Amino acid sequence: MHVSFTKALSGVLVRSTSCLAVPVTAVLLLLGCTGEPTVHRSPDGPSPKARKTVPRVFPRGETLYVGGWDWAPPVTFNRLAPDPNWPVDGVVQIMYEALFGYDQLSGELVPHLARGIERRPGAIAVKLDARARWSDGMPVTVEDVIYTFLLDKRYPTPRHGMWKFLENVGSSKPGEIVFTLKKGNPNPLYVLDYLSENVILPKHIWSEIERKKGWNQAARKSDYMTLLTFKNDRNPVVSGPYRLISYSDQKIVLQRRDDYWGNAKYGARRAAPKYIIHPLLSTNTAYTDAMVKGHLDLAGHFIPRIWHKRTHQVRAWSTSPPYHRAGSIPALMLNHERPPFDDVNLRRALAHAVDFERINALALSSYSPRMRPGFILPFGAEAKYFSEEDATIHGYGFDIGKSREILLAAGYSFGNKGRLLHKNGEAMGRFEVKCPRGWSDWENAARVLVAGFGKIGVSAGERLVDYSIWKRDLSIGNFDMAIDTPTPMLWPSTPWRRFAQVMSSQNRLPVGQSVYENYGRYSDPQAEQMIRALPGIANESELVTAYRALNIKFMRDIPVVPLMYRPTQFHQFSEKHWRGFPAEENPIAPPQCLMIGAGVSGLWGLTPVPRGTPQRAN
Amino acid sequence: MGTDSGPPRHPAAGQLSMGLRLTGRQRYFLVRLSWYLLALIAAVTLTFLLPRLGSTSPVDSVLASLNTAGMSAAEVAETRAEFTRAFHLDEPVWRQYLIYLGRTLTGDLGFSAVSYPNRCWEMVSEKLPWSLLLILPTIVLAWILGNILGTLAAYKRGVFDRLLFPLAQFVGSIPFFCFGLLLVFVFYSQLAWVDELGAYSAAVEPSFSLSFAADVAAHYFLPFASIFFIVLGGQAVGMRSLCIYELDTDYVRYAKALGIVERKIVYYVFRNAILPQLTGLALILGTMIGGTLITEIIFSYPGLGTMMLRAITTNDYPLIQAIALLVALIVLALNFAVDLAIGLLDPRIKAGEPIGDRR
Repeated sequence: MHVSFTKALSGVLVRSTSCLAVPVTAVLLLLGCTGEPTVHRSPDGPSPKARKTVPRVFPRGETLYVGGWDWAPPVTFNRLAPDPNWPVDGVVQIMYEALFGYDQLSGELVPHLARGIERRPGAIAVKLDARARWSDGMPVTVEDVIYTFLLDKRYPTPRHGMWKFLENVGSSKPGEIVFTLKKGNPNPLYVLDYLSENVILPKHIWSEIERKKGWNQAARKSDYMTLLTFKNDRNPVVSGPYRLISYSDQKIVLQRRDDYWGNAKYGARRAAPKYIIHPLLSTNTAYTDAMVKGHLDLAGHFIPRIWHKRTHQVRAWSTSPPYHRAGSIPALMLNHERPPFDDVNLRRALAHAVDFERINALALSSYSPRMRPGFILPFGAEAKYFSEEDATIHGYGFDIGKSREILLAAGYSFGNKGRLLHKNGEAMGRFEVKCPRGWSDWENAARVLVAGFGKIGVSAGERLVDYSIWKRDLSIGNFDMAIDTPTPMLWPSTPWRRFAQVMSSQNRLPVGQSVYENYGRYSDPQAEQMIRALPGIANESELVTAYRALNIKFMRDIPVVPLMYRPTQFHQFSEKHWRGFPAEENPIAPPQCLMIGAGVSGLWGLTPVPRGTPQRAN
Repeated sequence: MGTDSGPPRHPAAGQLSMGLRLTGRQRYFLVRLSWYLLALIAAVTLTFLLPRLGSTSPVDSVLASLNTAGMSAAEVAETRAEFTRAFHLDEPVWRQYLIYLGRTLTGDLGFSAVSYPNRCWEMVSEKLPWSLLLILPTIVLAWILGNILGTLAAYKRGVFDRLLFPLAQFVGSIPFFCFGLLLVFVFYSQLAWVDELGAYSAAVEPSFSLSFAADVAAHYFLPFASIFFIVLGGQAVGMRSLCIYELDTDYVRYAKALGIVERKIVYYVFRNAILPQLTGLALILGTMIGGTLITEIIFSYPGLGTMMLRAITTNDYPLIQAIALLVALIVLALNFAVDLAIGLLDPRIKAGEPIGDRR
């Protein structure tokens, strides 16, 4: 019976599944044809010998694994694209270099392609490092720098806006580039930002690409979209210490350039890792797991409670609280066009209802130093502009009683169940705190905010939306309250840029029309005057006075409510395979992940851990 | 039994108005094909229209990724205008639809808006083999083995059934993501049998080599298992019930009473029981293609699921359309293949033949 049963069964199954043979075979053929997954290689040349420059297995002792800068499959390495892939976005400078790299610890500009800078009336002059060479051996010239800046003028690139502050980029003597500030809108601070993040392209390569793809002969105008079809993923000619050799939807691979011109700055030594690989994993958790297992040496994503990872030899810049160096101030944007947020007393009351300690603990694993009122970081390079005295007199802090006092004194009242009523006695509606879905630290912050506002009778709820919707709603002013980070990085222009992002009404437009700063539509002539005047101040003591005045104005008007001090980069590393990472006790480079701004120099300080070395706990 | 039975049909039933004479099977397949064509048109139209009902466009996503600090609305408007024009988003929707149809018919799926300048077809074809590798062998093997086990359980009963049935029911009812996370926790985090997530090790460069194939296989194990056992459990439970039902029918008793050999009876039982399972197979395959999202996310495995999710969250119209078109084509092709199988196995399909055509 059993034999007959099996035979019968197999007969039916074979017959039925045979009909699936066609699609299944098609798939297997497809897989077979693909053979190896799509991988884009970028060897030195087309010869078979050159193809062998991409090894089959990357030796662990020569490879630095980094993660947390890209999640999606790579798209383009064209630096003119709206959002190019790692490592070609502006702040990462290991493939292309800018004139300078910003040092977030010292607040200084560290020369990269440049060798000196001079501020002149109405202009900034930069001397180019004569040693700088492209990977094809050609010298990096003044023409390359001018050409790169003009590219951003001709096409609507992410840095197109800098020409609002530039009149001209030219050269008056060999080896020197002069950036003439815009007459009527001089802003040397913004220009310094661009000098530290605008990576320079080789004119002899890109002018040819532009000739082929950047000009629409029929329409007789520049053709941005066609220019973007150039992905720059084959043998890119670069000036930095690494170059792209291959990428796929699983990883991006860079190889060290042994002939990098800048090695001269490090006593002719080469950067330590021969390869830098960025695996593309899909979640923060996957990156954290990879780090704990020793598959990732350096990570820039948010790892909560980093102190728990010490047993796995994973740590941050510091091994003691707050572990990271903070550099940005996420804040609660308030829509000044929507009552009652146009009332400074209500804004002040809200600021007193924010439990900063709880936000720090819940949202940021206590990585934020203690919050002080105002919009200046009371530590690091900005500390010189911060006044504790001003903060005490004009500031605010978490104090529900005080918050209610402010509201009552301003004419508000409390109704049923302690619900806040408008000054005319009408019940207040329910408000939303908008933030992008999936940003867990902000989501947690929004929950703490909502709970705090509830304690002063303000009914509010978190509203989590997709990133692009959140960004668009911010832009057109479609929100009551929203979390955002004005200027998420430290720049030569911070803290001025941070203030300008929430207080400048220069580009202000009514609700419904898109703006790209001051989303809350705050408007004050005195504040505007202060913001406009500040970039022109060169004298340090005058600058301190101006910043104190601006911070007092901020604390009085509370255009937005600062929520936490957040690290600009989560500089986290594993010491299983590499040692000598920049750290608080080894400050060979700022905590900028060995690749951002002045942080690049840290690559020369690494040493591989020899195989068989006993593992040590930090 | 039954292959040439069935109600007598009107002589004209198998004749189309053009005078074409079709057999029952041919007519069956023709009708199925027409339905599939209609379904394809509906799918293509819906996937074109639905993303456009939202309040944001792909250009909002492009602008969201732009570092707009310090830029005025006029400057950002230039970038917006370039992308809007390039993707015809300034045209009326009906014209966009005609442009899309025209291009699709010529095989041009266009550029992705958010991942510009990647072409949709390139993006999809990079991911498709991974998705199919994850789905087809997994589902087909689980289906075959599940049906064998289900049948064995129904037929043999006893200890085998008492052990298998609750186990299969338990495994079959675990949600994919729970089982996936459990596997990651046990085999990746705790036991470290699998050392790295993803489709292959970061230290390995893809090549035609045994070592690379072995590396891919090692990475394949967990995602495979996360789908395989759940589908296996569900199929075994389903097949067991179907077989028990069939074994208890009158025709089986009658056949036994007539003294028909056991082998023949078993053949008919399974032939009948397998039909709903085949339809089920088509449905599973249909929902799994593009639906392995959770598996892809948990195991950082490449595939169409995560690409589709990203396309939807960024409103990347062209990419959504391309993936949806591909998924629709694959699902319909698989369904058609299953229809073919059913057509060959189910005697009732053949019953629609014109009388004169009987062999």
